[in-house]
Amino acid sequence: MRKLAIVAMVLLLASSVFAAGTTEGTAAAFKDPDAVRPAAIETYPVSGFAWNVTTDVKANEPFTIAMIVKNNTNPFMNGVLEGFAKAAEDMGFEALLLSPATADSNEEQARLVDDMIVRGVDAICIHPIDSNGIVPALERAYDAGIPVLVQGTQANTDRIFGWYGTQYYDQAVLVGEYIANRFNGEANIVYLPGPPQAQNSQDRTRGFKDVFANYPGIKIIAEQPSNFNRAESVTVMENIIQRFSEDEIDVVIGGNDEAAMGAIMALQGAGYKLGGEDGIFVTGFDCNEDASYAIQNGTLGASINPDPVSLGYLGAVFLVQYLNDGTLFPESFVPWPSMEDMSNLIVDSSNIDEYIDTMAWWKIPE
Amino acid sequence: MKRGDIVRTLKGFPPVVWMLILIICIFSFTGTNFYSVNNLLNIVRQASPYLILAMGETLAILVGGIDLSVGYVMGFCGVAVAMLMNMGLPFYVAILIALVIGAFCGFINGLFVGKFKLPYFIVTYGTGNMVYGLGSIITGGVSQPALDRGFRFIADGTLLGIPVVFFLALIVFLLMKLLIKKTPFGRNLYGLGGNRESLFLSGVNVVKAEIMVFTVTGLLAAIAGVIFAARSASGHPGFGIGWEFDAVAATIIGGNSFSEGKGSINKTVLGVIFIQILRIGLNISGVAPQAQSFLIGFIVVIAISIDVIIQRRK
Repeated sequence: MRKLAIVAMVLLLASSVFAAGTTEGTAAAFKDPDAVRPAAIETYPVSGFAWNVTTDVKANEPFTIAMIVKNNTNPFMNGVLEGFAKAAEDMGFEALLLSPATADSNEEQARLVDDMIVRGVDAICIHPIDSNGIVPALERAYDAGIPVLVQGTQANTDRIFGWYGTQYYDQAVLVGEYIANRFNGEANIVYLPGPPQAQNSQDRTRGFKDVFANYPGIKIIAEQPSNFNRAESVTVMENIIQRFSEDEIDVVIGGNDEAAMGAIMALQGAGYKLGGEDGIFVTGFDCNEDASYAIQNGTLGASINPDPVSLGYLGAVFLVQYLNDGTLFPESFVPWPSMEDMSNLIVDSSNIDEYIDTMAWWKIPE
Repeated sequence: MKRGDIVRTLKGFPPVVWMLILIICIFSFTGTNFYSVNNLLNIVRQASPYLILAMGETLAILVGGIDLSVGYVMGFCGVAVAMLMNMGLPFYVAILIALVIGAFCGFINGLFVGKFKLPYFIVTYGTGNMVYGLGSIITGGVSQPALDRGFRFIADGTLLGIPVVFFLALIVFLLMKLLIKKTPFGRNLYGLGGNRESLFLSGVNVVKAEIMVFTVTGLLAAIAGVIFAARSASGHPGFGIGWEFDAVAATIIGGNSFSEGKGSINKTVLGVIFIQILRIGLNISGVAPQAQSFLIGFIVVIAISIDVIIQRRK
């Protein structure tokens, strides 16, 4: 019995030595615990928005950098990939553009990270599907000395290179405050969130609830998921219309533009007045093509411009800067597009023409 | 060995072996670091839980059915194990309860398809959605962290430099072999798929036998779910969605038949290795995700077609 225990211990020791030998422990600057990281970003290394985004940074070597998004079915995610590809062309590095074949599959996203570690990429930028689920994969990349820049949804670990982008929570706070201002703190709201299990939808819901808690005059009179889907949204809204008359609804918040567009179709079908001084005010997120034209013709009230193209582009620039000369990323979250510059974020009738002319991320240049 | 014997042996290889050799040849040109120890370990890590899940699906297919609930059951068992640990239970107790839950889901499937003779598609899809809904309710749709060190060792740990999950898959594989070869379970399994009438006439309780098969399928899905939860250090009801397709695909690509009660879990092993290498190869070759979805679907259809054509010739 004792012999067996000794043998087992020797085996365990041997295996741990072997395991340590197989991981490539390169001394990466971003892992240095003594390195002083800037507290916040001072100047962004890019200028312009959407397809006009540019940078002075050039890659010193033809680095290989992977961009891993959540799916390839959402125009937002494809915009991020397009921005990243543009950055690769402008700066001169090799971009690997990846997303799970099964949309929003956390396990597949983690596998993509593992596969990139095997390939030995220089850096990874990732838009996590789930804050908890992605952590082990990111920590494996950290152990392998690969800097990972997290975009949008937070990853619940500090063993990463940095975290930047738009937080879904902040977007909702912005829209919530905008609605509260517009209606002087008195409004009946119908809310059509995304899938209950999707973290980006949960974050937005939290943002709205936190804002509206400060306004006793604002009531959410109906809340039912329409899963970011236009067709589902039509049905959900039609059912809600059965319960509320035109005068009882002031605002409809779509979980994204698709949900908002579906709600508009249902409201129009029922003959409810949209927009103008006394019509129902509908909001969405993403400022995609259909939504932009809907704002222009007055059916959609407002939407948020997340500018995925410059978002993907900026991530690449941060990583190339680090790979060039070891520029470290700030400790805290780096927002983009900047929250202070509201005019770039909320798009409504006042700035829609300018948005379509100069900032629309869905207008792919030829 | 005579020349004729070699040719016969080569001809005896299932088509998936040739497909496998073909894609490995292609990836050795296109995939960076395709031949590396790290990639081998990576393949083993990813394929092991997948194999366990696919073996369960193979059982359901061998009896002439299908189990569309395995992905959901996997996700739910991951949620269960995470939540139970967060309630303060030691990880092994939590795992045990999660396995019982998985087996129970399979039992319910078996009860409805075996006893009440309802269609496999409908029953398993229904129970799958039920556990998914249940998981969404108890978690509120939020992923549940599972940070226990011992628990995560299942996914991250190594023994002699080999990932622990490999040994788990090996043990499950050997136990399944034992179950099929040495117990009435195996005879009943093939009898259910081949000729139920004669199985019934030989005095076997057909209903009970089918319930047993689906219970084991549920149990294997639960084991896979626990490993997936350890891999992602969390449980979420949506984590397993879509994996039923991969499980069915591996079974069929390996050369198992949907209709005749013919096949074996050995073939499923080949199917799993094929799909796993295909996915990893495409990823490290930098193939665009949109093209990957197309290619995987295309290759699955081609592989199955080749198999069917060869079967018909025989």
